[in-house]
Amino acid sequence: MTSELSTSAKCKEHLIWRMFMAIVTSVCVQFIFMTFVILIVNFRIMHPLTWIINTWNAVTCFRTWSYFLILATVIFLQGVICSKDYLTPPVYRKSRFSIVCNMFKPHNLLVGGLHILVGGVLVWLHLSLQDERLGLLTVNCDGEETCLVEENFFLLLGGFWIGFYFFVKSNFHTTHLQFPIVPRSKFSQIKGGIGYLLPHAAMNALSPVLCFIFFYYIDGGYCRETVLSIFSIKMKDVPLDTLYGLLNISLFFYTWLFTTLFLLTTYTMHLSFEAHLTQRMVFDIEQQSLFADQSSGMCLADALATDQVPIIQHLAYYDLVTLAQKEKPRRSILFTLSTPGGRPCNWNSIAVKCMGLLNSFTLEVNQACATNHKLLSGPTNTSTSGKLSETSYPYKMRNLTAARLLAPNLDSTIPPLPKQNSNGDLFITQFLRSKRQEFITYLLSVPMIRYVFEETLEEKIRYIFRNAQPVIWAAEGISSLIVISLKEDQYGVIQQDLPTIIRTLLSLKEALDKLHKANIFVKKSQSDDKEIRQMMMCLISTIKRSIYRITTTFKDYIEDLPLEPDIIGQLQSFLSYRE
Amino acid sequence: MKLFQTPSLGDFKPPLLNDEATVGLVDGSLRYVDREHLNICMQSYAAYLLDHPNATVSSDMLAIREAGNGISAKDMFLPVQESALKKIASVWRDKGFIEAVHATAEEDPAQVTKILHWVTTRLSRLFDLVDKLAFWNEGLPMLTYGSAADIAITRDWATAIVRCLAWHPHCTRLALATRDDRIRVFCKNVQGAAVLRHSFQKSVSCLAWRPNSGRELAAACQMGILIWKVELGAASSSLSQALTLRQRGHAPVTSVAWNPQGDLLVSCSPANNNMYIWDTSRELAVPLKCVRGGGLCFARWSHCGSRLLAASTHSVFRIWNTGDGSSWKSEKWMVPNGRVAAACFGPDLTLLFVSTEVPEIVFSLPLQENIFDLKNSGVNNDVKAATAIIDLKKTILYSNEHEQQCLGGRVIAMEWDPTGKYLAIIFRDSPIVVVFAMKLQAGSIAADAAEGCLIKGFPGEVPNCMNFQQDFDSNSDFGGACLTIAWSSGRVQHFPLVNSNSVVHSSFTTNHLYIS
Repeated sequence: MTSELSTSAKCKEHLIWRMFMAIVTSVCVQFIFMTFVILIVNFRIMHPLTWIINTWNAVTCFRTWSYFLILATVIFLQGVICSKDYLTPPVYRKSRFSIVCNMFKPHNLLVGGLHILVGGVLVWLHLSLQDERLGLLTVNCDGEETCLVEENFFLLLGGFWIGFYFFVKSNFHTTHLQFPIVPRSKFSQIKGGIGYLLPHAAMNALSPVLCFIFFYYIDGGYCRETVLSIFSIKMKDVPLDTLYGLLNISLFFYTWLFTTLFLLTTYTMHLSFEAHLTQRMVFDIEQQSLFADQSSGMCLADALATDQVPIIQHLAYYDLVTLAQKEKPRRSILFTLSTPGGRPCNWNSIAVKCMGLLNSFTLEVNQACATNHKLLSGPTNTSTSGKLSETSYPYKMRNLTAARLLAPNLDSTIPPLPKQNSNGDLFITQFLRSKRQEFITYLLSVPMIRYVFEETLEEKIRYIFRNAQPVIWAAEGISSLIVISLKEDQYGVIQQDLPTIIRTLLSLKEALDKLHKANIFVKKSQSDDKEIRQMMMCLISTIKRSIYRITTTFKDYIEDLPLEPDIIGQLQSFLSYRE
Repeated sequence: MKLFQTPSLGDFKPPLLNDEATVGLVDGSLRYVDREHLNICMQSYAAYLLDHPNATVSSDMLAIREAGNGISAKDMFLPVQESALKKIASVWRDKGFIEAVHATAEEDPAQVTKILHWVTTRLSRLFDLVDKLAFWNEGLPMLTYGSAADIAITRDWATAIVRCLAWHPHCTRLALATRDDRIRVFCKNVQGAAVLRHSFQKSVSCLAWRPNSGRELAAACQMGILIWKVELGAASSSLSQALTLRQRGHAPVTSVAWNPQGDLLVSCSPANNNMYIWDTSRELAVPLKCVRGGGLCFARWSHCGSRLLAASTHSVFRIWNTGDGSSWKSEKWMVPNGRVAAACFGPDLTLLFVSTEVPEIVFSLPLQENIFDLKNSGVNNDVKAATAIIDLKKTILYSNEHEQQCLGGRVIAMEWDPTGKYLAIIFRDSPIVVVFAMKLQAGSIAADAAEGCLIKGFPGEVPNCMNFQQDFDSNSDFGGACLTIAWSSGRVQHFPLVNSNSVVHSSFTTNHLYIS
């Protein structure tokens, strides 16, 4: 328990520096955005020189800096709060109801509040920078009285609105870190990302702006009156919430500009986290002895197992693939035997983790398939999942390593049986349970309730595939390692695990093929689903590639491996390159 | 003072100038056969060529392009009358807002109300303008059909029957792109060729089979990239699936190359500064910017996957180091004149390249890492240098007073077989394929080249393109290579270069795959 805790603490320590840098980068990028906005706002086509000079003065003066400091603080806070999202595993949200529930968690409320605050501060900052007088919500009019400048009120309210809008919207999508296809530097990643995000944000800003204008047309008067009555101020001009007042092009432009800016702020925050957190981390291969503390201090096998901090697990699998395909010196450490005992400790510890992950993923996919079958063929056919657990891993005891590789899997495959009590209570509880089940089934048959509360299969599969990235790396890594071991492993101990690896990969392939044939994502085509479908294709192609890699290398030795005839049969299509 | 003479084309024995074509190099001696005997000798090389697919295409087999799309999906399904708004909504859902605007602008104004039509036509014009502005700064002229012909590693690309061919890296499977914009896939033990066609598949200039995969084939087309999942055997043309990949401003694509692990695809276009690295199953691409040098002609991965060569349309070419876990870095190299015409990696990271202009010399560039890590000791590691190994100056060989044969000049294509023993070169102005015997020695800086053989076709034939069979060495016991050449007549020749030590072949026998 303590060791687990310390590992987790160690991970966080590794990440905190990266996150800090990510936030700082994001603030810097924010400053650049601000400069550009000032440049746009001060645009004078007739006097380019004054335009530049004005902008320069505006950017360099102390007032700007002090205003910016406030924005920077808020963004910093937002970054700190949001960084928690990147450290915790994704939440499985069963139904639409749980998505809504999720929104009201304290952490999420805090995030939402900060979003709204950032939206407001952004607008306030830019309004104040434009012109000192304009930045204020109120002006003196008619001597002593203060009046409301409704344009500014409108823009400020727009700022709060976009923060709220974005927060609600972001709850229906999950943020996840996407690793770059090829290793890239942080700078080029951010630069390329912003180039892509700019038009994206400008486009995405349109619909909330239109929504807001519509909202203001209906409800704007009420908001304004509330503010007027609270601060006991007066109106200066005619109210804005008329069709004519809202068709003001410059007002529309400013709202759109600030909305775009807000979207850019949040997108670049994510981008900056992505760029910093997905940088490769090099882990130690050997278990550290007590007094060797010169390196990062986390060993690969431990990191592979930290599923509580998914980013560390991702980084570890990423490191494993890189090591397997590109780094000979580190591979040679992996292939060494332990000095007392002569066992392949390093290899075993990594192989166990990889196979465990692959097996548990196979199991999850199989379960999802089984529920799908149940849904399709009615409630009579319920024994599928039980059958699967018996048939998926026909296994002969050959060596201890392999037995260990499979051990965690066997535990988890057996579905928890209901306790067979001999008491009479059992009957009553069972009766009650079945009644409750019936009631729930009845409730779910009502369309409205089903829409809100039903646990959809798509959502489950979506959840499974959101976690598929490490599986892809695990398959790539383990197959590359076993292939390269033919040349580099002096002792040949690793090849003992070859049959187990082949079996695991084939069973995963089988499960995925089954899921692919079920065509779950055909009905809808949301953008989110597209991503998941692509992930599924990516996974299938990776698994096939891994098996091909093994069959091309071990083509001549397949007959000698202790494999069951049906496994050999499955491999035939790979050996003849027809898969 | 020269220590050694670089081998040149003058060293070759002039070929026999009769009606016979060369059919094989067995035990160092060239075998000739004439047209009549070709069919008779069909089976005789079977020992070397196992059961190679008979991959010949004649010009009357080609479909005329207009007739080519005879049966398409349109004819198989009944047309459905959808309302314009529904169509637009589905475009919006599938392809996004901008595409929807374009789609609306193309609709009949009566269908989608005049105002909407007016707005969308203006908007779509605006988007086009923005597009134009965004790509304006690249400063590259939009390239036409002809420039792809100049860049492709095929002689007379525009008129050639076979435009390019590619062997599968692991098995005996050959893909040919023909002039009628179809891809034919020939496979061992499978009757008939799979014919792949797609409306997107126009002027294919490069084909690449995916390594560590059985049936995936990438094709570089005029509009983008097509990834085929080839269904072998019967009904191949209707069951094969294609995935299109395209990127704004990245067309025509002239070269595609998979990395040896099979997970990344790189594509190049002479109209674009960027080289795109694709994750094909995720349909995602990362642009790698090459700041100087203009558009890119072609890219090649080394056999081990640790180097990637990208040749630009100018004299610059880059070698990306993709072999370590950190971000990719490139080294810039230049050829003295012109651009890189052809380049290939041999085993153990030796790169051979030749430029389009004078001097026509094949340079060898060893890229191996130094065994001793000199970076840490402070010594400059940058001692790599290209050395000239073969002189390809235009030479005329006289077999007798009247008969002469021209060799050398501008190189179109250069291929090195996977074992590193033979180097084959096609020239623009010579009907002969020149093969050099290569020797790679551990410790020596450059590869050694020696006189190999000259491959000539029947009178009137010129070679269009070629590729070494990738799995020949592992499949046969002769330890040789097999060069597949597509001739301008549509004949696809498998040319074995083998040493038949013990194998029975005392009598003169040939195998030739030819149908006309």
